[in-house]
Amino acid sequence: MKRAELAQISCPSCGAGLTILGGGRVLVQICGYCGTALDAIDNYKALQKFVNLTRPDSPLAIGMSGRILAVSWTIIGTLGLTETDAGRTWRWVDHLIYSPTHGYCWLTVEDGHLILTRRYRGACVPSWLHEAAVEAAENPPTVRANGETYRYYETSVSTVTFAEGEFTWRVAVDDRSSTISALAETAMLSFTDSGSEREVERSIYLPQAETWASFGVAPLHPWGVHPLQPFVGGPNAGFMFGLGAIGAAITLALSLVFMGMGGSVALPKKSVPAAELPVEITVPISHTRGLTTINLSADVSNAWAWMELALSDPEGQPVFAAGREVGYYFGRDSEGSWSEGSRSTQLRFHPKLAGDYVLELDAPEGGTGEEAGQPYWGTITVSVSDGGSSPLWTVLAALAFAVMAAIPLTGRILHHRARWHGTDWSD
Amino acid sequence: MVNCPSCGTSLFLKDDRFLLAGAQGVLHEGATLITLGDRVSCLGQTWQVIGQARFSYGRGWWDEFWASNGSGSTAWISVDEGDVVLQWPVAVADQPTSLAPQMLGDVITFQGEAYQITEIETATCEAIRGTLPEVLSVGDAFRFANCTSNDGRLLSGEFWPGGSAWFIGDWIDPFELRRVDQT
Repeated sequence: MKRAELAQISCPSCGAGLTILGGGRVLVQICGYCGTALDAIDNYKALQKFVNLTRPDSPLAIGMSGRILAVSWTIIGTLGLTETDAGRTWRWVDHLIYSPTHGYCWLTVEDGHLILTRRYRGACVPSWLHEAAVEAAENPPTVRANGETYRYYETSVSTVTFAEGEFTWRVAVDDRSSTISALAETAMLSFTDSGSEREVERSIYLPQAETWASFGVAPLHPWGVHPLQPFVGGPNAGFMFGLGAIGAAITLALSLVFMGMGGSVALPKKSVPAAELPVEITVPISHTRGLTTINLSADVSNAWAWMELALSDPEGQPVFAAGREVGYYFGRDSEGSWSEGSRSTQLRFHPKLAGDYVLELDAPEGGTGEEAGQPYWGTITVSVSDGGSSPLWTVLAALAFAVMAAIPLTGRILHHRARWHGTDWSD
Repeated sequence: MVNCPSCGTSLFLKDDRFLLAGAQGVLHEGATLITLGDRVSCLGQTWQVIGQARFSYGRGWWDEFWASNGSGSTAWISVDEGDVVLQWPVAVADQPTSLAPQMLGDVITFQGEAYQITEIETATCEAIRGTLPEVLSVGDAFRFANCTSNDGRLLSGEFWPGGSAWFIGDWIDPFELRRVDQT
């Protein structure tokens, strides 16, 4: 805590009046008018002068006060910083803020986002992230601190391009510091080595509109997604996810029920050798509610068969004529046994009349390759059940509900990717 | 040691007699995280602040609050512009062997753990209030050193001609230190 009598000084270089806003740990004050650094612990003697500095763009300024984390803070210093890597340059502004009760923090303005950074004195495991260890690691290094796991994000070297106001160390333009940062879900840990001091800091994303307003500044429109930015879903995201998840669960359960309702046997399994084809089979159908299913199979092995069937109702009217192909192939290669295709197929229809239907069945083609083959030479097996149910529509509904639930999740996943877009870790 | 709020005189108790210790000094007004008489909670315990000593380090000052937790345990709560530490005296038998720190960066071993010296300063007592466990006089000056371990613990040593005292403790996040009547 500084002594109460200190309030204002005149810059010994340019005579400008400078208000003293910081506490007892302030070591240097840089005049915002002439760029002269003054020694705060030796009667504000001039130390050095920084000239031709370009003031960084920030709506916040020294002397402004606002509330963060329910504590009142005053901006006492402003630093312009830059980082250049691989031809790209990043710029941001760090404002040193001071509270007589809670000390010193950084309020950073980066691409319109507001970030709060405080010194972290708690235990970290490991206690420090070393650049050499990062470079030697096969997976992104992690740090455990305060019950959270932080994963390596990036290594950066920043340079001070502008300084104005009060600081708790002897800052100078062109000062460089190296920082290794690690990101968790809600905070970032930074391990900064300035050459003379090592410090661990923890950053969080502030409630933007509320913080800007407390400093009396109109909110900036942030550009891009900041690594610390939390995901904010749409106003109906929770409802969509809940409805989608519950709907998918219900329709999936209904699908399983329908799949279990196989109906009753109208025609037991009947095997027909190819030599007896074509053949007419009488199918007594007694249930007109529900679906009738015709099951067909052929004893193909590394071969295919083309089956044709036509159905007439009890009044002799055609119901449908259709064709179905089955093919089943298997073998062994360098990766082991394999098989593909199926020996069976199905047709479903909704009978309008009960009675004896006539099924005409033939297998005019079969073979072992793609080209047109000979008439099929094996055995066809046919069976019919009626009064059954199909899960098709409930499965489709389940898919639709799943998509509804996935939309908010997709937004979260895309946001997570955007947060990690700036990491310099590459596998 | 106790302080008379009426006449500003400091007294210390010796052989069942109160002896004059001097003036209590001046506490400059200003916002502070805790004040004498507060009940504060931190690190899972509640402490009653019963004494205060303010020390100067030139341009600024910090407060040392003597506190009791109601179960007979006492500790110092150091408050310096948001830097808050809860520390207990180290028994003489357990104190580090080095009598005085040499320079910044030196490593001291305490209870098998390495502590690096991160700060060496001279402090001067500016004011005293309430009840304190040792005799302090306004104007007393002593050297102190802060030493930090890898897991963040803070070991502090105070040195004066012919003696030293050591304290061990932990940093407290000022946002996690609460007046009990606020919770």
